[in-house]
Amino acid sequence: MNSYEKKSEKGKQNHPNNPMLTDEPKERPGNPYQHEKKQSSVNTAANIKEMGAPVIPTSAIGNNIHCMTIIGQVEGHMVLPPQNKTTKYEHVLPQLAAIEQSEEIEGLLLILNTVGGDVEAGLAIAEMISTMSKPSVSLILGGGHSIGVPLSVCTNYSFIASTATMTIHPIRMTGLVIGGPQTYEYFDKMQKRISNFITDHASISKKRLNELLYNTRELANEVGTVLIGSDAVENGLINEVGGLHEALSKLKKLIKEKRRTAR
Amino acid sequence: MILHTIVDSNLIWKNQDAEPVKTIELIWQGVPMEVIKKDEKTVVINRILTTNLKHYLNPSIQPGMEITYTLTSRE
Repeated sequence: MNSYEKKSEKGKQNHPNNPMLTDEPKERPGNPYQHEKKQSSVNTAANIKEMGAPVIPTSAIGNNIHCMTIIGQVEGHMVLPPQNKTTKYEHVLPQLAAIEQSEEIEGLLLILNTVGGDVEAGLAIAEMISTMSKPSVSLILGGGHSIGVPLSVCTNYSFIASTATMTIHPIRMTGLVIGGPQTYEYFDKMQKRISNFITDHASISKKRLNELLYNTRELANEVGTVLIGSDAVENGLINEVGGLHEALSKLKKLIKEKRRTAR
Repeated sequence: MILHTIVDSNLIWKNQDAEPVKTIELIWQGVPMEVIKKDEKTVVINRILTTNLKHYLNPSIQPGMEITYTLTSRE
């Protein structure tokens, strides 16, 4: 029995009734594997165009950490027009389920540079990450605004770059409002969903979060607060100011601790 | 749907009347997916439509990847 067969057998034993976790045969009649050579050249060209290098260095990296990026708008129930750069929840949610199930992946590094987006999608992703059994660390670079705040605090540990910003402001709407009090009540409930998630997963108090949310002295056409780097740490939203090295070191440490407790 | 974002809604919805991108569903290497036609021989993966979790971690079929696939007239 070769190593592939051994691995395959092991996977089947662990999950005898789960067809999702059984290894697929490497070759199967009828599968168009003849495309592979052509595909390789297409991907090389795409890599040069998108990344500036023909080959993305993956082989030298240990693959027990999965890096997920959340950039631009978090896109949820509606497809946003094409000028928006988006992260779609239908891509992220099954990937998180796959990470949780994967035997190779031991930790998640969440890199955030988001302007916010759909409340339901943002909270769905945040809930998925916060309920994972594997260690996770977030790193905010550039910005983690609006619904990006729950996404920033949903991991086991969070870092913010010293130049990164977080805008804390309440949800809002524009356009026709039918039934003022009812609309207010609805928005109040929606805001509570977000605020409760933040206070449950960060060390900021509800009182302090509300002060930041309804601050009228910082933003010209909006209520709220902009926190830059260490401000987010001082207010108890983020654990530490740091960059890539710190985030990866912390994640590796959490993975080691998890391995130790699993024994 | 409520957007909680710092970007002005006028900017977000600026081109909302633009023609939606036409997507095609196909099965490539056993994986059902939704793609966008780029040219006669290339399609760009828009979304993976599978219940097999392993497919979501396969780097060669991530959304945005180009694959060589000749569409038939039926597709």
